[in-house]
Amino acid sequence: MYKLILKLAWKNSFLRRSRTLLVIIMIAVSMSMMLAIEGIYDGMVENMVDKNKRSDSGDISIFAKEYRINKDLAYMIKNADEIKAQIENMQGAQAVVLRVKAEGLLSTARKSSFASVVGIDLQEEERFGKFSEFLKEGSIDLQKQGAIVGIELAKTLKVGVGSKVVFSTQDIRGEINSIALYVRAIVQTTNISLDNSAIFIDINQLHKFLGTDSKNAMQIAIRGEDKELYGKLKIAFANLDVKSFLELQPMIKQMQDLMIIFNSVTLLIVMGVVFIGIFGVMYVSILDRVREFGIMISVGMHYKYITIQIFLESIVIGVLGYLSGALLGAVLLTYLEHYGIDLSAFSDALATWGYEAVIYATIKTSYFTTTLGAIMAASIFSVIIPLRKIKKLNPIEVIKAEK
Amino acid sequence: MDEESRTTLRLNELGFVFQAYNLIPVLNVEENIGFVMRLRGFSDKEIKQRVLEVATLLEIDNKLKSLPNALSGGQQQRVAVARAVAAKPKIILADEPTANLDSNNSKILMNMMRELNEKEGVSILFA
Repeated sequence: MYKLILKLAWKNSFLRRSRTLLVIIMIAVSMSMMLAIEGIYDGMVENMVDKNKRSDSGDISIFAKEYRINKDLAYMIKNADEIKAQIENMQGAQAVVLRVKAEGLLSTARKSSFASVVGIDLQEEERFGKFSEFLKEGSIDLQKQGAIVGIELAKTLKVGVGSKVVFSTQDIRGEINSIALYVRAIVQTTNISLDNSAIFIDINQLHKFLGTDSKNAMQIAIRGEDKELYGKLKIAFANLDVKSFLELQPMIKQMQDLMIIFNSVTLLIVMGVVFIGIFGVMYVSILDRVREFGIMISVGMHYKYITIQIFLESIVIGVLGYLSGALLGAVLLTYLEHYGIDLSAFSDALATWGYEAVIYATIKTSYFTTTLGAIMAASIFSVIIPLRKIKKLNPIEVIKAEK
Repeated sequence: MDEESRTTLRLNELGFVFQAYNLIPVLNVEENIGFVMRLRGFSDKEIKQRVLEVATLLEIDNKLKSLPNALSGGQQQRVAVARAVAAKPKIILADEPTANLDSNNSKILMNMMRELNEKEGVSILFA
């Protein structure tokens, strides 16, 4: 019985071949575009998250309790090097770095600007977040009073590789001190705050300049996506301020939520298109075949089998549209994952928002599973109204009327 | 009697032959003849055997794989008769079965229906 229904559904799906193919193409194109948009949106946010983690906060950051409220040299993590060693031995911790930070004024002969000096260990930063990949100009080198400057700060001060700059701040004793530095490189992290105000120097040199203990640090940044690690750190270092990436970057959390809304709206629009497409085809197809259904009912076919047949016809169109769309979408996403979209023409505006000029897509299985669910739902809902029309059929009347 | 019961009654007790053949266009002759039998849950083997038997009786056994639109009016009406007879209903209701046929085909069909009545013992009510 069900074999017969399946056969009827399959044959009827292709009774008007060009019409069915048109709907399949419509589903495939709209679905693949939606997948590409989803991939690009997620790619933008993931890229931003990745750069922020690599250049600054890691997956988890630890500070002294008061430091984030009052960025004073007095609020450093004591014996940070010992804590770092402890964390490195914890399960799930992939990389750990110490950073020393101080706010002050960066000046050239003509200009000055607020800046935040960050003391780093280049080798460790390389392991932590491939620091050298942020390089825009010059070479990554902090020896002999070398400094690396954020791209926007360099623009503000009009400095380039080889320029001499002076950084002034208050040291641990409260004295105003200055240090002359040579710009060796300019970096673009797409982390807005770093690009706008950071100047990186060697951590030991900064300790010496500030007069701080080289065992201490302002920040311990940790890479490691193990969910249990955060809880373990909270317990192990209850006297410190342990923060996850999203706690430190609420704006990115909002951005992620916003992208979920964008993707949901796009999904709804595409599903609307699929719904209308299948509804149109099924409605016309059913109107064309009112007599056929009348015959089936008159010779003894129960309404439930006709319902199954209509659902199957709709699902056949939906599934074929989905498969074509998934294939096209996968090709499109793979291309965008490898080559990205080059939006260099808008690079300044994108950089302001922390995005790169070339945006790469990401591919997630959830894109395909969600879409499958949504297309199936659209396929099923789109035949409810046409089915009600058949339910109202009086078989004998239909057969007589259509003679 | 509700719609479901009426459908069940039509399925199990009655056979129909319509003036305008009313075959299912996407099914071939064999599937059209076996359609009611499938709805009643006969096995594949029973259906195949009975379809061949009835088709031979109505001289359409050489058209089993053809679609209805490839048949002449007379042949289509014979398929409709075969479909009505195949599941062995108690009575067949035939609504002007020869109205769309020429006199020669009408004569052939009526002879065949008489033969069915004699051989299969099925009652046919003509309108």
